[in-house]
Amino acid sequence: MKNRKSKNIKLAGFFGIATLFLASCGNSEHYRHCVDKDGKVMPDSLCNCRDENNNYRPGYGMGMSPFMWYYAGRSFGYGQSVYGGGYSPSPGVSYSSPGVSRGGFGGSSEGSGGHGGSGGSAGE
Amino acid sequence: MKRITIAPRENWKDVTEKQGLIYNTLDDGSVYWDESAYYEFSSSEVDEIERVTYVLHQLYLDAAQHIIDNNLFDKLKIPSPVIQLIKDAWEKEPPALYGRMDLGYDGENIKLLEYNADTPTALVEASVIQWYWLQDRFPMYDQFNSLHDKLVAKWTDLKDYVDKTVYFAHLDNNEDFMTVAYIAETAKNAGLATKFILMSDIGWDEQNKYFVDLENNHMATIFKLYPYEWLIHETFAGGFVGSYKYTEWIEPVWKMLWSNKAILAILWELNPNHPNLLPTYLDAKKFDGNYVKKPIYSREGANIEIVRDEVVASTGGDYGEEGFVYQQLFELPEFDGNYPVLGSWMIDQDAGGMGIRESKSLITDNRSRFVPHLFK
Repeated sequence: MKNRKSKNIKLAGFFGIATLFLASCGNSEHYRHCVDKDGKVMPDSLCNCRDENNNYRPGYGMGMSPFMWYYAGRSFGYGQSVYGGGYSPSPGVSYSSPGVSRGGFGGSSEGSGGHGGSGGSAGE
Repeated sequence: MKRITIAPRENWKDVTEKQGLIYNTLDDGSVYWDESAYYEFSSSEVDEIERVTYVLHQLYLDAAQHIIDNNLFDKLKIPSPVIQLIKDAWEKEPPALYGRMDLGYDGENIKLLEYNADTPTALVEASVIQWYWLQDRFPMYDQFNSLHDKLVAKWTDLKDYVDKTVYFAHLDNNEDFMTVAYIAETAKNAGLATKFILMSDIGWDEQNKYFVDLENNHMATIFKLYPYEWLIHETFAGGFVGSYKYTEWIEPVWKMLWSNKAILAILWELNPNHPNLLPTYLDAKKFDGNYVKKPIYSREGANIEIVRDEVVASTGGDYGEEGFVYQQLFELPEFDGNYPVLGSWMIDQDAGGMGIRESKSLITDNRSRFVPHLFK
C-alpha cells in the first residue's frame, strides 16, 4: 500500500502564530530613498542589494555598490540631494518611498463570506 | 464510504484552536470543525479517488491548452489585458502550488463538481487538524493526507525559481490569515524566508514600476490568497499587468482558466460522456428542467440555484454578472440528513489528500462543516 500520510508535521512557528494574528501598520510620513555616493536620489532598484540597515544582502557580493538607503522625515525628488536624515532607520518608524501608493488591492472583499473574523474571506 | 458517529473529544475546541484552527466554530456558535462523525473509506475507494483526481488533472491541462489554442477567453469572460499574460505564463510554466477539486461521490460514481484552483481554503483542517485527530483517535488507521509533506517538497522544488523571501498576501480575517500562515510554515520548512502582508498594504512603486512591501522592498515573489477575478479589476490592475514579468505570483495567472467555472462546459464539450464529468453547458436550454446553475465567478457556494423544474434550493450573493454555467445535478449521498462533498487536493501535479465538507442542504457553502476521515 502506498503511504499517503504525512510523516511528521513540524509546525512550531505555526502554532505560535495562531495567537498572534496581527494586523499590519499603516502609512507614515517618513521616507526612504536610494541615493548615490553624492547623496542624490536614484531609483530604489539600485539599492536592492542592501537590506534596510545598508548591509549587503546574501548573494549580492560585498562592497561594490555606491548606492545606499537614506532615511529622512521628508521626501526628495529624483536627482535631488538629500539632507536632514541618515543612513539608518529609526527603530519603530515605518518608511515609505515618495512614489509609493497603497490601497490599490483588497477592495473587492467587501460583503463576501468566510467562516468568521473581521473581514470577508477571499478563499473558497 | 460510511459515516460513523462518535463522541467528540471533550477538549476538541481547545485542541484544534491550539493547532491553528481558530475558526473551529462559526459566528453563530455552531461547529465548523465537526468531529461528532467521521467518514470511513476502504483502501480501494481511496485508490479510486486518487486515480480520478489525476485523470481530472489531465483533463484540465488539456482544456487549458484548448482554450489557449482556440482563443476561447471570451467564453470565460477574461478581459483582454490579461490574455497575453495568461498565454505567456502557460508557456513559461511558473510555479503553481495547489488546488482543490470538489467531487461528488456516492460510493460508486465520482463526479467533478468544480475545481478551486486559485484560492482554495479548508487546507489547515485537511492537512493538519484531521491528521492530529487521526493520531489522537485512530492511530492504527490511515488517512488520505500527505498534504504537509507534499507542500514542503513542492516549496523545496521551487527554491531555485522564487525569490529568497516569499510574501504571503491576504485579507484581514482569521481563516485567510491562518491559511497563508500554514502555507508559509511549509515554505519555511523548505528553507525559504517568509513575510506576511495585507493585500491593502501592498505598495505600488511608481518610480520603479513594481510592487513593494511596507518597508518599500521589492516583492519579487508573492503568494496571494486573493482571487484574480478581483485583483484584475482593482486600482493596481494596470501595475499588475505591467509588472507581471518582474513578479512571481503564486498561483500563476493562468490559474484564471482553471478556477473559472465556464471551463466545466469546455471540459464536457471536449470529453462528452466522460465518467467523471457532469454534463455542463453555458445554456440552460440543454437540460430538461433539472440542473444546477452556477455563476462562472463565484465563491463559497454563493448564487447557486438547484432547479428541478423550479428552483428548489438557492443561495444569495453578489455574483453572476459575468454569466452562468448549467451543470447536471449530481445526487449527493445522504447520511442522516447530511450531504458530503469530497475536496481532493492537488499539490501542483500530485494528488495530496482529501478533506470532506458536509451540509444539511445540497449546496456546499461557507457554513458547511468539515468532517474528518480515515481509511482502512
